[in-house]
Amino acid sequence: MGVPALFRWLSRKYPKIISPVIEEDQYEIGGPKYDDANPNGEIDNLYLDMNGIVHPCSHPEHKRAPETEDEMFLDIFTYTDRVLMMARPRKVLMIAVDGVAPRAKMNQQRARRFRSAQDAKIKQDAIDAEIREKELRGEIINDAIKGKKQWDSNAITPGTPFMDRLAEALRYWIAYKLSNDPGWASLQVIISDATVPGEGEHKLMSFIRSQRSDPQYDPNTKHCIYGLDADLIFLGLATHEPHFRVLREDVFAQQSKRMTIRDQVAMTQEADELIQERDKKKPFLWLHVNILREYLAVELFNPQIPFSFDLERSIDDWVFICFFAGNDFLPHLPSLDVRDNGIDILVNCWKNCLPTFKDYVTCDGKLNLDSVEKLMAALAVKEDQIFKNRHVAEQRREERNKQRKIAEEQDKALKSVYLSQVSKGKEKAPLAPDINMPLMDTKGKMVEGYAKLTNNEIVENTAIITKANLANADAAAALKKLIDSKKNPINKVQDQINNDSPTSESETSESEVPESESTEDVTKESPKKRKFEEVEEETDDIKLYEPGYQNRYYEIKFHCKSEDEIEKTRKDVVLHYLEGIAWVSLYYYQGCPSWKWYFPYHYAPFASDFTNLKDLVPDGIKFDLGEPFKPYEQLMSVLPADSRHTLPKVFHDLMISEDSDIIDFYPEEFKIDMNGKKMAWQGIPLLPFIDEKRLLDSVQAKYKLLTEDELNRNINKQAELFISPRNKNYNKFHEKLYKDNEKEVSFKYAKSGLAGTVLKYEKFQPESILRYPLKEGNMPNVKNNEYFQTYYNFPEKKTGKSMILNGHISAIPALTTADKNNLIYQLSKPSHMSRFTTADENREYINTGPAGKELFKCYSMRRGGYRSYMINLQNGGMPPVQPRNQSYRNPRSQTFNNAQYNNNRYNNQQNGARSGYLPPRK
Amino acid sequence: MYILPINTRAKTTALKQPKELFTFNRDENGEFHYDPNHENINYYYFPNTKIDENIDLQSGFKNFKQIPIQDNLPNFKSFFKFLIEYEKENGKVSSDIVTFRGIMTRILSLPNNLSDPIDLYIVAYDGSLFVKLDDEMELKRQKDQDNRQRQTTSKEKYEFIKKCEYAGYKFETITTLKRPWADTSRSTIEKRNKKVVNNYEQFLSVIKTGIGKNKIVLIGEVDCCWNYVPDEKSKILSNYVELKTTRLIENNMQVVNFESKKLFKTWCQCFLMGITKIIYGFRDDNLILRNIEFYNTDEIPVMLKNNPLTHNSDKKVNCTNCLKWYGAVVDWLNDTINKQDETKSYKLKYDPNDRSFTVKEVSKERNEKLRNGELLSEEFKEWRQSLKNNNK
Repeated sequence: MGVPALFRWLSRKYPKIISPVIEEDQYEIGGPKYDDANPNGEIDNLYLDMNGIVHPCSHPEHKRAPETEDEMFLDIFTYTDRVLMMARPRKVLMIAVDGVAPRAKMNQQRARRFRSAQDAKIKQDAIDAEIREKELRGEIINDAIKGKKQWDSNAITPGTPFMDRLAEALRYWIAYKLSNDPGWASLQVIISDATVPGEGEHKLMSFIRSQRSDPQYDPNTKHCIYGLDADLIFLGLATHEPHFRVLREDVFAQQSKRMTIRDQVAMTQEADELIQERDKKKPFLWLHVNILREYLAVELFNPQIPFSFDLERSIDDWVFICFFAGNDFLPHLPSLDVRDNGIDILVNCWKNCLPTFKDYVTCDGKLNLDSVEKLMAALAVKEDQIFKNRHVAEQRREERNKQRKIAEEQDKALKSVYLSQVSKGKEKAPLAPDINMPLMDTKGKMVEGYAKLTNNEIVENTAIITKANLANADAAAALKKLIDSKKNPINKVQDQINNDSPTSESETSESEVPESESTEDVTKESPKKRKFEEVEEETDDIKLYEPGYQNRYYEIKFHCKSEDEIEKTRKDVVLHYLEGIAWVSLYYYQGCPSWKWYFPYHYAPFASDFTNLKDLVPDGIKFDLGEPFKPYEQLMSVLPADSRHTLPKVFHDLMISEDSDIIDFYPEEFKIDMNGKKMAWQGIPLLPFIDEKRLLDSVQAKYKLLTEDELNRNINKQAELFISPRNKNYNKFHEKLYKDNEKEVSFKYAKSGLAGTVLKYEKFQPESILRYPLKEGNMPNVKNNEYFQTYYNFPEKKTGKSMILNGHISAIPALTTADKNNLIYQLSKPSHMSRFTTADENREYINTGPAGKELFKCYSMRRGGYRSYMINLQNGGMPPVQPRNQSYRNPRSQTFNNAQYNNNRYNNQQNGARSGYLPPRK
Repeated sequence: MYILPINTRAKTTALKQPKELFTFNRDENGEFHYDPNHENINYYYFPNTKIDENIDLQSGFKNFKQIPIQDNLPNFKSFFKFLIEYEKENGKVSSDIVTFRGIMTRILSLPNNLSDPIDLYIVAYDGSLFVKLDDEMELKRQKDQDNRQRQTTSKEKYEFIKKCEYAGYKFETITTLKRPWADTSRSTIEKRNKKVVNNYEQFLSVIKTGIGKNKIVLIGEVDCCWNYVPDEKSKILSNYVELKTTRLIENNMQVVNFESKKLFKTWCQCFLMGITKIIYGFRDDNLILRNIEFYNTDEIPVMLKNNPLTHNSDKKVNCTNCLKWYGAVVDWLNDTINKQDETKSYKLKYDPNDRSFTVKEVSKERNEKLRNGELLSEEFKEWRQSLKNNNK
């Protein structure tokens, strides 16, 4: 899902859910300690989606990339330290690194990695070009920068040596903190690294669910999850643990400059340090799921449904809708786009349909097909109009862009005539050509067919160029059409360009003539933006805004030839898509239903195709659990040939040799279907789907050739638990595992705030020493008797239920009646019209979790009770007796009345405290 | 005959922290089973938002499986069976008094219920005083009351009274689960409303407690627990919950009546058993559940004391006062009755007419009956005898 898009949408609609993280300056001596009270309110459990830390530390966008792997790890330590000081979890810290993912996710991972390898090559070429350019001008470029090869971020995949070393570094760091930081004394640290199958965030979900199934679990546990992924917000809601918050960098606070190629090369020591410093201070924010729940309670309430309103079930439906609009496993429906208010549209459909349902759309992760069909039908009605509206908006945008460009050019032309100097000296020097619009080519060959203009040449010829602008735009469009045309196989086009010969098609020859001017548009923009970001409009043969689009869609995207074929395909795509949403729903609520299942198409069906679902799946949707892949099997499924260096040598041939049985899985070139989108990363790489059997056969055949070390990297393992000797369970674990030699020790929640089973970790010997694993940095070895390490199993898996647990005490409500009214009012306006709220505007809010520890606060204050009566008595006067009929028919008014009565009032009773109706304040 | 003046109060009331010894249960057929692992305890589960669904506490009234009164009186026979089980593992339970919680509640609450008669039998055996109800009188009183109600009120009113009773059990049924929440399916949780209500099923706990220098063993019913039964024995009682229902409180008079007639008695019950959590369901005149409130047992004496409506009123309930009376009674019984003399048995009687609280020897016949089946069981006597023999 487009993360910034979703996040922006959420903060517009529900302005009070974000607040800034308060950090006391920790770089001063005598600064805040871990065991100090947390100025942001206390937190029990912190969950780290480690990929959200590893990625930005290993290939940062806003500062210089680390020189060595060790430097990366040290960066990771520093960053994690900072996050920990913000959250200061008191009971549990769980660190999850993505392990082998379910097959459904692998397709997206594959797409990303293939594209990233390509981008990396382009970037490297760009850097090389930049260096050459500077050297041509006589500049000396630092050898370090010259020799530096771009780090392959595809190494962040389970099974690579990098992940191994990361695991080692993390374990060291945890042991170090447990033995050194007094604030970590009772902290229980769980590591589920890349050797444990499952995506990071879902491993965290599984953990939370497993703890909830222990009857001793504290229903008022205060959770916090760190990560930038929008999914985390939905995961938080799906746990039905109301005291939940998401911690993330505030990407909108400081619009720091993205590092361009030029910047990377030109970086001086000073500038580098300045950026590092600023990076240390970049602000973070909290996203309070409890407040989001308050908003949703208002938004989703519906008194007209034939079954009883249940907030938890409604939230589940809402989450279902959100990931319908964008998830990692399925392409989203053409009519739904987060940027286009897709979620709002579908939520409105849901609200309108709800009275016609027999039950909510989801139930603890299972789909009610009848409700799904009704919901899709409601969306289908809107589909035509959505496409039309989109087209109109597109055209308007294009018009505006055109006008803007014309204005810009005229402006520049004027300037060049009336002002002698246009730019700083450097740009006047003769230069080697800049790279222009690159073709998507995994080999990274520079496409020679496109001539390059120097900036100077462009500037001098601006007047001419301006006049010829329109013609050029056409030519450029034609050229683009050729490139991205869906009708021509990509290879044919590649050949054309590689051979640098005009084709028979007149369009190409036309474009060849004013070749210098044709690329002008893009070049102009390049100094300002990243070159490979914005791609211009491609031709659209499907024309969603014109009737008959369904057939055209199936013809073009799915290569259907006849009506029959279209019908068959449509049914099949819908069947698989339905399975897909059932799969995703179960994945969120119950855990992965099948490791093998995946969606076998690149495109989604239309909402109007979702008819007769009962006939489509008469026996309901069933999944075969299967098993996760082993690490090398996963690597072979997601990596392009260029990243084969992360795999043992024996596999390399499989990816590059003509004789390989599975060479077709690793195409050198592949088409990217922009599918109507603007940004390059939104396009769909049309990679072939991997045939599991063929892949496994080929890969497993090579196992006997692996070394022992390599074999060890190919095993899926278990999570581990680290505690300090001061933990309440230490003695029991130590004795039973190491003295009594028991295989495992089960423990329940009440003692330390964690439940599960520990097993002996053979390599951990309490007498020995853990050596500092890195070459850089200056950290000490850790004695093993200063910490304790075991394998850790979650408590036995039980079916999750979307319910609030007994004993739960709500937080003090953060929304005022005015806020709620605003929301209801906003619901009638489109979201993008609302103002974007910054976190800072909510800086007064501190999330203190439950409104108290007194169990009577589990229940809202209502009329007719003994305590409530006495409290009212204390405050002078009885409220009027509530007419009975009204409250029966309209539970909403009762809830709203209760809103005035609820925990807020319990906490504000000064008199009550003295009279004894409320326990005296401590 | 020994007389204890009604205004006797102990000087101090040193209370022992109650501790659970063992538990047993009565199943839906009325049969008792030893249950040391708390397998048959209920678990409380009723979320705040469900209250707004206006659940009808009289639904299912026609299918109410109600245990006949005569089978529902406190029963020493089954208790002894399980006491034997327990003592086999843990040795003899020594105590000054062994009785049922309900009986002790009557004694404890007496200063507040001066118009309610009490009739008990006391049998000294093997160093303890076993106290039971005079079942005959008890049954007669309950039946008389029932007849009176049937005759003096309309058919609807009479049925309403029965429904109110039913509502109490219904409330327990819809707010509890047989297994912990995590092990219960959604449909079970959501279908509790349709479940047949029965008051055969009971879960009973046997605890050891004390007041002053006296040790007391009490047997009492426990409605449910709060999420789980703690592993630490000393914490078990504090996780038990007492469930009650009552009418919505909407004016001052209702508050005062609630306090003196219901809340105080509930406090007595829970206090004696060491139960620290109380939940009241409030229903309206149509028996619709409208509110639920939670109390800690130790909040109640303070609430009662500080109620402005009962300042300077004879309706005011004073828990400490009752505790002192209770302490006095227990002291008195222990001092008055010779535990070593196993040839006699006694009747403890409170007569509201002259407010006399007396202990009198019973007839030889009565004594024989009590010691041979009516109170003491053969099984139990044999067991205790064997213990004595083994110790020689």
